[in-house]
Amino acid sequence: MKAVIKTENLSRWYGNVLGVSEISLGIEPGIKGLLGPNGAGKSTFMKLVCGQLKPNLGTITINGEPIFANFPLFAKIGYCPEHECYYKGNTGWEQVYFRAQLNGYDLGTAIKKTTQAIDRVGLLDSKDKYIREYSLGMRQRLKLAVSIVNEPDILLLDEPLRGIDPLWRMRIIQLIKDYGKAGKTVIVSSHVLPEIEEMTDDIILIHQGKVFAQGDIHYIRGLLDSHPHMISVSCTDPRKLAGILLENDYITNIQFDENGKKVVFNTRKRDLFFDLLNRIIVDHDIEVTEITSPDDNLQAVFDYLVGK
Amino acid sequence: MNFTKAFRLIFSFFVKQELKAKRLKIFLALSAIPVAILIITKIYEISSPYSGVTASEIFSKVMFTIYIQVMAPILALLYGAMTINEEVDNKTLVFLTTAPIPRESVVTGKYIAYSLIAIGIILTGLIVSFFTININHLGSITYTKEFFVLGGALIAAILAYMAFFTFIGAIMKKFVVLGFLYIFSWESFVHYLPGITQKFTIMHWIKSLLPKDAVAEKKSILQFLMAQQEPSSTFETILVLSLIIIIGVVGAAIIFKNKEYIMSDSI
Repeated sequence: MKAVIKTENLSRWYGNVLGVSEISLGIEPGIKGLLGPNGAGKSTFMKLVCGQLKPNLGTITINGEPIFANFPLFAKIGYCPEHECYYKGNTGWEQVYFRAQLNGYDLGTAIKKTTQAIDRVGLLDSKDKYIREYSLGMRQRLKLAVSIVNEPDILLLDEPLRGIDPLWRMRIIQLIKDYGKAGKTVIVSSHVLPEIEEMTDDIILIHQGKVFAQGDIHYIRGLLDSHPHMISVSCTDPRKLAGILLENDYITNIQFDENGKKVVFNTRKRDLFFDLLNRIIVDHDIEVTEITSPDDNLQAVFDYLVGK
Repeated sequence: MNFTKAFRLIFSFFVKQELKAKRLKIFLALSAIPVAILIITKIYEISSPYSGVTASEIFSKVMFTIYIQVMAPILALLYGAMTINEEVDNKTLVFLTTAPIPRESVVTGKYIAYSLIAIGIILTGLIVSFFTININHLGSITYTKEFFVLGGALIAAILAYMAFFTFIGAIMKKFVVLGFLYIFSWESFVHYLPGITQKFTIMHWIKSLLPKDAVAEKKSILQFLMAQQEPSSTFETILVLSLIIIIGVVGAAIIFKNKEYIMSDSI
């Protein structure tokens, strides 16, 4: 399949701060997950793709055309930015309708497209409310409506699920998947792995402005599994729990806190550890008040992988 | 979408936005202060005819100065600064610059929309002032010529200052304080200096639109404004003001087309 978006040695920095560095990619139709911790360069990459920023070095093209300020190309792109982006005195309808007008639709088509877009994100009942009266989740869905009102061939979604309630999260994920199935090119950025996992298997890992890895999400899962996990358990008898778990060789370290109420395990097999922990808690009737995994986030995984 | 259609959309959208905005009410309230002073003076004049204070005197000696030298540049500064910078500050710039429209249409559409609003604010005050001074003798209206001349000069002032500040706004962020300094230092004083120096202020060209006989004939109500004025010819004035407007707006549009505006969350 031919790459729709192509970058070659794409680099962008802000003064002394690196945005992205030497990214060479070819993005084909389908859903691509852009995954990385906060500050990794995801938003910079998105802004370069949607023509908001110019590269300092390298090139970026859509269907062979440069993007920055190439406004005819924008008719094919839908961009949902990370930040809030609306005119305070407008209703939801006015915001989406204005965007439809800017896409060059005649009155009837603009009304039809606006209605469809607002309906798809479930805001038809609240369309005449002022945006300032919307909840965070509603404003997020409105941004999405703005980005899809022109039924774009390329959809760029920067942290699209932030603040959206669980029900609408599922529906938005389905909407994104439908776009992918329809042969559109969709790039979704997030720092939450499970979010991306629900949409696509095809991901780009970005860290400190560089593409760290790309391809199948199972590869990333493998990296995650090899990362030594720290799991903290607060319970009535931490020493008893530690004694039982100590027999397993995938536990590499055990530490107790000063109060004797909490035990921290280090393991290289997180899933096996949790299976076993659940069984022990039930079989030995141990009362657990809290289980946390302080380093179970992308930042920790990236730090580990980069260090490795 | 072509420039003309995009320009129309941007223009009508921002006129509607501004008519709904709270700041418009604030600007209108501020522009009503001199009018209120004039109304109070007129009431005093009618109730105490021999007091020696007349609304016409206030109109000629205070209002003209306030409107031409203070309100027009300040309104133009605030609206000119908003043309681009409010989009950057509110992060709505992305909404406009990811739309399939020429970027130049954003600047020109907003410039014309905000100019129209600023002209509306200032002319409302002027019209109310004009009728206030004539309220007790509507059969023989006075100062008609001055009213139209001043109205024209105010429109020119708004368009020229707005173009200048829109251009500065395309280059610089947060320049409102600097803009006030410019208005109340350079523009306010340099245009009173004799010789060619006064031509380096926009105010010189605005005042050159006022009747030339105001300088020679001390009778004119406009003579107060014309101290040290060495007016340029009408042709030269219209040419220079047109150039200021065209260079300002076209320059701002070209800069906006090619410049990246980086927002705080870019990384």
